[in-house]
Amino acid sequence: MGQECLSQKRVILRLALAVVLAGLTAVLTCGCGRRPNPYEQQLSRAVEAGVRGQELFSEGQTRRAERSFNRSLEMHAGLDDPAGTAKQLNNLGAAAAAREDLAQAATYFRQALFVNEQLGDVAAAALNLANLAALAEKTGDRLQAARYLQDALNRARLSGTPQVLGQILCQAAGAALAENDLGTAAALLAEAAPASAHPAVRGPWHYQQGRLHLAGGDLHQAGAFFHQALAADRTALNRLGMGADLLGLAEVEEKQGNLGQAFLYASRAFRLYLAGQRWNQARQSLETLRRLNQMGRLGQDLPALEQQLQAARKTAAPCPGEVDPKQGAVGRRQ
Amino acid sequence: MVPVPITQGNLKRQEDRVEAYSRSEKLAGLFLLLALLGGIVFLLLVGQGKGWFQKTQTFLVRFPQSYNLEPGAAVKMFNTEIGTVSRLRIVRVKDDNQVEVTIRVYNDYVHLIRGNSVAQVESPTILGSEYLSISPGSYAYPPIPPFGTIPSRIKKTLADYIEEFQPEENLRKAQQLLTNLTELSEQFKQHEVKVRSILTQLDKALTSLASGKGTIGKLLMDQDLYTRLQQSVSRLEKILKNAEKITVDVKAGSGQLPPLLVRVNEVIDNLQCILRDVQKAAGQLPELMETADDAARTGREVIDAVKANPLIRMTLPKPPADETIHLEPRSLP
Repeated sequence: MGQECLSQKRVILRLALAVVLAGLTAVLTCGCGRRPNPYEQQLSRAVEAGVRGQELFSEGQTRRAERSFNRSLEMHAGLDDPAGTAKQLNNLGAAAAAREDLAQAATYFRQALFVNEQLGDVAAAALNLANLAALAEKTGDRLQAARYLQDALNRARLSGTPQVLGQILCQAAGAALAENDLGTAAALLAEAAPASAHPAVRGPWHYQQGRLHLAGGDLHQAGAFFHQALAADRTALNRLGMGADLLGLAEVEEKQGNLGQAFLYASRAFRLYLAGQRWNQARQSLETLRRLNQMGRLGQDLPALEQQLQAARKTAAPCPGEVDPKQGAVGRRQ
Repeated sequence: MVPVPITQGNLKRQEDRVEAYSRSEKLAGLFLLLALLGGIVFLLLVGQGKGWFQKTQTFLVRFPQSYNLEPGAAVKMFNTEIGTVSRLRIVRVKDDNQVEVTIRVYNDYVHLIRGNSVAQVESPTILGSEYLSISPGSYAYPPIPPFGTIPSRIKKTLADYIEEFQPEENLRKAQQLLTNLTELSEQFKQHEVKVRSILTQLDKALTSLASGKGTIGKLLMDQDLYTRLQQSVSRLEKILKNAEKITVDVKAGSGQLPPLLVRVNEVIDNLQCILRDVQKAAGQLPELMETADDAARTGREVIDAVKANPLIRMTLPKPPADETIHLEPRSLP
């Protein structure tokens, strides 16, 4: 009886193993033998190129990012995918802005806005307008910036996309803080609070809260918010955001009289900007470092940092034969 | 008494007599009614002025002592009355006795009382009694809820100011300063003669400079310098003319260049040969590129097929989405 029972169990086990193996074989065969879909494949290639461009942009490799965006744009245009085309036009604008070519950036953003308006994509159009507002603010045209931002806010509220609304509210709060309008900034940030859990909003929201508390004189709270912003931006790999957070922390420490700690934070920001090839921001950080060094008589080796900046600029300069991204696919399209 | 016969007309007349009021009665009633109405209106007006009907909200403030503050004292902001003190009582907070002041603030001003508002007892300059002053809070801070405690600042008494002033210490410092000044003036007297002689010498030097004496004086005042400068300019012109002559000579000497050019041409010919070879090789390059592209495409297709497998697809991390980049102002150069 015992032997019979044992042999029955073995048979059942073997049968189960055979079924599992057959299932695996079937799954593997079905998976590998998928029907080809050229349109989907090409679209996925276009998306991959766009994602690659975003990664490069985040790493500060603006020119390589622009090439990826251009390639993605060409593919999206070739597939008659207006939504993807608008996205890549916007991203090319962001890259042009990073190269400090603000006129070219504005052209790209306007083209993206036009396509998004045709498509009725209110959220994407709101982001295009917010980007145009950022450019106008940069060029000192505050009136135009306020108009763009108000339009962007209205559309973001209409779109019902919490992430986009949060991003634009944070930008508007930053603009209000620049005008020293703490009440408006606090109200805008309170409106953005529900969206602050989103990875794209978490960093900017905490950063603007930090700036608000810094302006209000609450240094302890400001420091706490900048630390949270730094953690959020690190998770999202937003290097430039991290740099801004570190400079905010440096400002808090400077106001508390801890000049050594402030220098440490500012030097971390300087290195981040250097790695991200943001020369203007790196130069501004260097100015902050110089001021802190003089005020605190810290005796730090600043010429070495200046040499680092110059060497990095030389290394990153384009070769004479390199193609100008301005003459890329979009340039030709125009 | 002759009984009046009960007829329909007589009954009507009797009823009229009972129900109707006389003119004077009506006037007295009207006067009373008007007085009552007037009184009510007066009370309403007074109450409105005194703020009896205004809605208020209650807050608490704690101080180490009452500073002679009394119930009914004014609560002010920007020297404007915004409420009253309603109650004072001694409470125990963490092993420490404190005076808890209950205040009522008119609803119109409640929004100004925020997290960074500070309450302080103020004394009048000459006449009047103590009142509670509250600083307005900024909108960056949340409003204090009803029955919440407003942060307070301890009022300094006269004794505190005297202690802070430290008259003895300051007098000692003033004495020290006077002693130092006396010493300084004595030292200055000792060096007075030297300073005077230095000033005299400086005066002499300036006089000689003005009259063109000495090296600097000559440089400044001498007409000869101007003449010499003119001579130098004319010499410079001559030198330039010579340079032109030399250039003409160099042109003449360039006749020796042809042999050099022949050699350069030979080198260029060699270079052209090399370029032809490169062009030949380049003709094969597109084919090579096409082959490489085909290989890459096949590789991609294989990878796509592998990715499409349910078992692998389940374990693959979710690819990041292609998003519209939002240009944050803090990221702009």
